[in-house]
Amino acid sequence: MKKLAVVLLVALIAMTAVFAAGGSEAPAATAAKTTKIGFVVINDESDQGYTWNFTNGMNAAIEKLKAEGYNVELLTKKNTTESAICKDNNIELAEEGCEIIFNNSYGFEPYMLEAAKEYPNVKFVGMTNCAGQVDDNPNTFNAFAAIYEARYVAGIAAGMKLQQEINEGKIKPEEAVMGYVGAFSFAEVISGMSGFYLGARSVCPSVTMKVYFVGTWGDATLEEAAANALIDEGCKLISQHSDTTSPALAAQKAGVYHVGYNTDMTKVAPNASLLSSRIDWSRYFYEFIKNHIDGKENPSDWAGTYAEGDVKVTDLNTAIAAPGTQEAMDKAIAAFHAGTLHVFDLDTFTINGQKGTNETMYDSFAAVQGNATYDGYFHESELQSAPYFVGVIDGITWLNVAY
Amino acid sequence: MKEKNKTPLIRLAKRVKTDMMSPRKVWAIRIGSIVFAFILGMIPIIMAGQNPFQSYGIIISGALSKPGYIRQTVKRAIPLLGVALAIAPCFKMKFWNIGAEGQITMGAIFASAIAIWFQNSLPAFPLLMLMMLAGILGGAIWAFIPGFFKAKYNTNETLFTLMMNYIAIGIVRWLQGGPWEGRPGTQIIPMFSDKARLPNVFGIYCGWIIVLVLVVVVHIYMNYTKHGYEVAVIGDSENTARYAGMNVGWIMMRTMLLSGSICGIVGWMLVSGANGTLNADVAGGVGFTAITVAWLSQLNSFAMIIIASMLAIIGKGSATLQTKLGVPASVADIVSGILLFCMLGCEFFINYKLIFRKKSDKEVHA
Amino acid sequence: MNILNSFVLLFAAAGAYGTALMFGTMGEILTEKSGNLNLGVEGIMYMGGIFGLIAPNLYESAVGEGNANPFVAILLAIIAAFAVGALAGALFSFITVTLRANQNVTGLAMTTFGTGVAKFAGELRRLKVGGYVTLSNRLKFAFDKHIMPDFLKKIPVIGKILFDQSEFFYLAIIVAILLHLFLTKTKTGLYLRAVGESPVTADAAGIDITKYKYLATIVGGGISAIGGMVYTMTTAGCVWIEASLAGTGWLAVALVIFCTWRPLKSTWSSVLFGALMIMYLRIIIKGFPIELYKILPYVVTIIVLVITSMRNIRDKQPPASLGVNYFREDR
Repeated sequence: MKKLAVVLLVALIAMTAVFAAGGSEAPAATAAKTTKIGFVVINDESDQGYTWNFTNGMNAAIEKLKAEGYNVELLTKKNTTESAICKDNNIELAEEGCEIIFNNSYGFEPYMLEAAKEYPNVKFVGMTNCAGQVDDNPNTFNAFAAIYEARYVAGIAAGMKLQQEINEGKIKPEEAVMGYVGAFSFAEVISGMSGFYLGARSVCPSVTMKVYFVGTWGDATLEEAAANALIDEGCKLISQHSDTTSPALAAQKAGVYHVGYNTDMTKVAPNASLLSSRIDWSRYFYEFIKNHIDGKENPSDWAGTYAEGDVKVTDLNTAIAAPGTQEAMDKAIAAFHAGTLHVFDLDTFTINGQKGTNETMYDSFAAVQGNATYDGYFHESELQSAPYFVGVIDGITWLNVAY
Repeated sequence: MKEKNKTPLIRLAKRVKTDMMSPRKVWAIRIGSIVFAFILGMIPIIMAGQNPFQSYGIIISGALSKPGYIRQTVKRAIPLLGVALAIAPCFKMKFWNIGAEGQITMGAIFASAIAIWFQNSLPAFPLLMLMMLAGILGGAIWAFIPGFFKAKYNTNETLFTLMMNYIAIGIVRWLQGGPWEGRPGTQIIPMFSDKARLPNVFGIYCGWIIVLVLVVVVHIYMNYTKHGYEVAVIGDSENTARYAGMNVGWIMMRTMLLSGSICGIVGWMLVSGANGTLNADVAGGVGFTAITVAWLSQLNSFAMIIIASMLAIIGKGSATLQTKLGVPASVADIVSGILLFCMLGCEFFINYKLIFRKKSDKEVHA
Repeated sequence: MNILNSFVLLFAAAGAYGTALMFGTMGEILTEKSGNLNLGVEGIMYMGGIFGLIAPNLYESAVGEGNANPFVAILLAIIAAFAVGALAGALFSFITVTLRANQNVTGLAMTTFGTGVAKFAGELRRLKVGGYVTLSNRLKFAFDKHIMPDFLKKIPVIGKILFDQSEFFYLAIIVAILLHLFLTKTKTGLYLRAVGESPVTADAAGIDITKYKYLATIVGGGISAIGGMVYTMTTAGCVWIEASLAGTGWLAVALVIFCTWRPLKSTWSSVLFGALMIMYLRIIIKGFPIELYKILPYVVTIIVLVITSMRNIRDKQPPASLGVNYFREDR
């Protein structure tokens, strides 16, 4: 048996020599200095949602940089899991010479931070998360965008549709129930779904909403199951904060309406999907990489907004949307640009029948703590980019929780 | 054969002690099968539009050509080797324990419990030792349950241990999203403090030393102890063992306890070394891959080092291949799969001989 | 909502995932009846999942979106999935039956290999088409068509569960019935069971063990692979997401035990398992964490396994030679 070991070892070494020689035939690096950008993503573009949206933003940024003469190369690690694999992938990219490494999933951050300690000269960006900005490492960053604003606008389209059905007598006012497929019961989801609901209620006063938390980000089976459960509970419209298109399909099959996330789902569900809200990451990627190459500082935390075009809604599915929807949305968008519309306006909602207070709305687990409740509204995404609104608004029924 | 005209053209015979193949021939076949596997492995690479020689070059250099690469490769090999060692005694006994995945996970859960409860109150060394003992306990319990039912009621252990995997992983998911979760809704158990983390030796957590020690321990246990002998006898024939007065049931349970304990140690190393915390992917398929490592090494502890390293090299190298040339990293699974098939298949040509019928009815040995 | 209604809706919803499980399970039942324990179901279902999508996708891009015939697309998906599963079954048989390698290890290698091939193929095809691989909506809806007439769907309680399902659900039921008849009523089926129970006796009786093991494993692999295809084409909405199919094959292996190797029982038990997986969204027990719902199928399977072995009920045991290779010379 020991002979086996020796012989195999010799064979292995021999093969190493042969193949290593083969490897050296690889073309030498181009003369001009290339800035390598790393990108660690969950799933891949096939999710048609979360990572698809990130990749599109990244590709747009890279193209723009290249057009401006910046020599950049993108290296992507797909289908990364929230485990030691994530740390390995970050190390892998750092070893390959990446100068910036973006991580696109919330659960990646703890592992990314571990790798960041080992590679102090590489910049690590934990997107949608919030620990990098407050830790001791100057090479860790965070970014997120005010998606609740885009969800508010998308909510208007949903509310208009339900109000139309009420006006036409198809449903009674109290039957205007929306269903929301959420991933987990934490600030990112709560903040977004509250924004969506408030947007809908601003045009359809009788609307209520039921929420199921699936307890996973990207499981098509369970998201569909949750959507179907909501439809069986009497929901007339489904929206989602989860990564796949299966809720849209479920809505299409059941003949109810749908509002998507991350990507235009009207192709998937032409008779159901009204529009989607999404984050446009291209500006952030573009500026971060450009600043880095130009030797400029980057903010340790970055929050995109509607006014800056970092969050938006996709084109309205005019074939099924209620008349006047576009105008109603445009009004809200203009107000966002003017800075006059605040999603979490304390006069528009109550929590347990009371006006919201900082205690009932601020996530006590957020990395940055402080008072966000003043001037008559809750200042979401201002103290840190990652959401911290966790108020349970009256009118939204949580059917379960998933922590 | 009763009737001569019914003698088939080719027939098989198991090689017996007297006409074993020469060691040189045996190794020629084994190495030949590996080379053959790598040739077949070129197919997916060509399909991905890349030069297979250059790709293999990148796989090897991406795994071994820089200290940073080697560290990552060794990190992959540690749990593979550890679990292969754990499985060896069971498989020797023909007890098909495919529950290593769950036993690792259970060990990881128990070790994490100690870390979470005591990391603020205990100094580093006793804390780590306590975590290890807890890990051993966790793995052992998870292995003992199917072992007990097999010994007592002859419950099919393959299927039982398989199911236990998913229960253990489910429990982690619950802990991750419940009692041990940091920020609610994040599914993240906070990283352990440095006290609960295994120290690095040469830039890799010291688990590699532990598994190398285990290699020697398991080798001695299997080859030079009474326990090891009993395991081998049961593997050959349960009935012989019974006639010889062995308590087969107890030996099965005992061996499973040992196997689970080693898996538990690996689980402890994974949370304390590689991951720094507990998550549902902590075992990440190692429990399954390690079974093939153990089997292909013919349950020989030292051979496991080679096989585990080979799979780790393919895995790490393919990751680099994906980064550099965009060949999907899943090519690692394909090449590993082909390699396993070829190595599994080649044993046949070592253990059996083909006998061709001659016209004269005289048998010719090939 | 009353509790009965909740359960009806739960089981109706479970039909979709249950159908994928049914195929996976029935394939493995057939395989195991020959004494071959193919633990590669996970890999086989993965391959079925991607090739069942690629085949109609290629077809549609070849003839143009408007010209694609839904029936042909479905047929192609079934054939492609079956073919790849059958190939995997043949490979498994070659290694375990002809080359006599250990079945457990070969099965696990098959899982590694199969998931690798599936992910690889999915990625290559994705890169080729750019973005993601899918079908036009017309075909997509053809794949998940609830074909039964409305008056059947409206029957209280059973209507929704039995008749509000996709075409594959009924195909699975038909396969289950055929498989049941084959195993219990035909001579070939009897021989196959003999091979699985006691290859020595079967060999002595002149049954060609090798042929039976090969055929059962090949057809079984093909049927299992169809399950993967059904998952991708119905539940996942004709899109390939690597991670979503994970674990389905292992659940099928569990189901084989749960339904004690009976095709007819596999129909309702697959739906039951499907229901257990999504029950946390329908039947909420206060204080019972959702993650623990998801381990119920495995717990139930273990209980069944233990009870049948404790009672030693003969007709509920695994085929006696399961997982053990047959060497005539060792007789």
